[in-house]
Amino acid sequence: MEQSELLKRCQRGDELAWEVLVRQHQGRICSIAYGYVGEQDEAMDLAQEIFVRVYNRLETCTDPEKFLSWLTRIARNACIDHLRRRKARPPRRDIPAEEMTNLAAGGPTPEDELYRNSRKILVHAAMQKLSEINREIIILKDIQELPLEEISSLLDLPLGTVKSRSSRARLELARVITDMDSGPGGGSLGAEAV
Amino acid sequence: MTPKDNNRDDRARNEQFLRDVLARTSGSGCERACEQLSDLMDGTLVGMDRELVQAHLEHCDPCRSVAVTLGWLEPLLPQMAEVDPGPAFTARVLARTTGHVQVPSRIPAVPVGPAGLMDRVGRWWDRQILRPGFAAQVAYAATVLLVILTSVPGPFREVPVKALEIVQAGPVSAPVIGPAMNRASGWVGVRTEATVTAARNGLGRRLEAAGSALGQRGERTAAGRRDIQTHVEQMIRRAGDGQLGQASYEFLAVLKAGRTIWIEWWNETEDDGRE
Repeated sequence: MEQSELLKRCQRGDELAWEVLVRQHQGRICSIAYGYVGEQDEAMDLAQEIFVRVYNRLETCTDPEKFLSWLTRIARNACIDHLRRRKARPPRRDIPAEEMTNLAAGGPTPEDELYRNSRKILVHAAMQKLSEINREIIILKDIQELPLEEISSLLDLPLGTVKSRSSRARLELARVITDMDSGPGGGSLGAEAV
Repeated sequence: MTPKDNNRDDRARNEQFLRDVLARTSGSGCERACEQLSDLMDGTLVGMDRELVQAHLEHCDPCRSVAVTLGWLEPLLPQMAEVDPGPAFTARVLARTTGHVQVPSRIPAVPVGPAGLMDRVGRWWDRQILRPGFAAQVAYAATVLLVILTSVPGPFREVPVKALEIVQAGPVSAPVIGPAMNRASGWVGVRTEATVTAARNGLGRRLEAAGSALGQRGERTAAGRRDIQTHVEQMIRRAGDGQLGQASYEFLAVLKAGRTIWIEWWNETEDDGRE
C-alpha cells in the first residue's frame, strides 16, 4: 500500500486508512516510547497519546516521503514532554526488570526466545541508566536505524557529533549491562563468546 | 600444591606486576581498548591496532565482558525496533481518534432466510468440490442415479436408447441438443414473459415488482443456461468420441454451471423486498 496515498486518505478523514496507518506504525511508536520511559504500561499509554497527537496534526505533514521522520519527531517530542512532566511528580512504581516479562510474543515461547526477551528486558533497564543523549542515540540509531542525517536533524546536533557519539553510546550501554549482569543474581545473560 | 596451581599463581603474580607498572607509568589500557571495541566488532580495526586490542582482551576480564556484551547487543538492538502492544491497543487508539470502535474481524454477516440457506449450500459445495476424489464420487453417484432413473417407468426410461443412438451416430448428432436447449430456453422465456404480463395486468404494483425481479433473475441466469448448453454439447461430443474422462469433466462443468444458476437465481434483486 502506497504511503503517500494512505496519508492523503487519512488527511481526508478516511477512518479505514487511519486504522491501517496506526497498525503499520504502532510497533515502532510503542518501541520508541518504551525506550524513552522504560516502563511498559506507561509506554503504551504514552504511545496512545502520540497517536492522538499525530491524528490531530495530520494536516501538517505536507511531504509524504518524510512521513516516518515527521512521525518520529512527534513521538520523540511527546516522549520528552512526558519525561519532563514525570520529573515533576514521583514515578508510579519502580518495576524490576524481572517483572517486565510481557514483552514476549503470545503463544508458547521457546527457550531461545525467552533468552532473547530476557536480554531485551535487560537492555531496556540498562537504557534508563544512560545519559539522555546516549539513550536517544541508541533509540534512534541502533534500534530504529534512522539515517545519521535524520538523527542529526531530530536532535539538532552536528552530524560529526552524532557519529562520534554513536559508538560511545553503545559502549556505555554495554558497560552498564555488564555491570548489571555481573551484579548480584546477574551473570547469566552475557556469558557467551563474542 | 600441583604444578598447575603453581602456574596459575605465577600468572596472577605477573598480571599484578603488570598492573602495578602500568599504574605507575602509562595508566591502564582499558579505556583505549574499549574505545576501539566498536571498530573491532565492525571489522574496521586492522593491523597492529587490532592485535593490540585482542592482546589486551586476552588478559583483561572486565574489557572482555564488555566486548562479549557488545557482540550480542549489536544484532539485538535492531530487533527491538517494534514492540507488540497487544490487540487492544489499536482499538483504544481508534476510539480516541476517530471515535469508532474497531470491528474485531471482517467476516461478512451471514444472510438470513433463503439467501442464508443458499449461502450455506454454496459454502458446502465449495468445500466438497475441493476434496480429492470428488470427480470419481460424483461420477459414481451420477451413474447410480442414471441406473435408477432409467430402470423405473417414467420420462427417463427411453434415455439410454436415445443416448446410444446419439453415440452410435457420432458427433454429427450432437447439435441436436443445441436446438432442444434453445427451445427449452425459449419456452422458459415465454413463460416468464407471460407470467410477468399477467402479473402486470392483474396483481398490482407488488406483483409487478416481483415480475420485474423474475425478469432480472431470468437475465442473470441466461449466461449460466448458455454454459449448460455448451457443456452438454461438449459432453455428448466427447462421449461420442470415446473420451469418457473429458466427458466427465464436462459433466462436472454442467453441475458447476447449474450451481451458478442456482446462486444467481437466489441473489438479491432490487425491489425484491427480501433481506
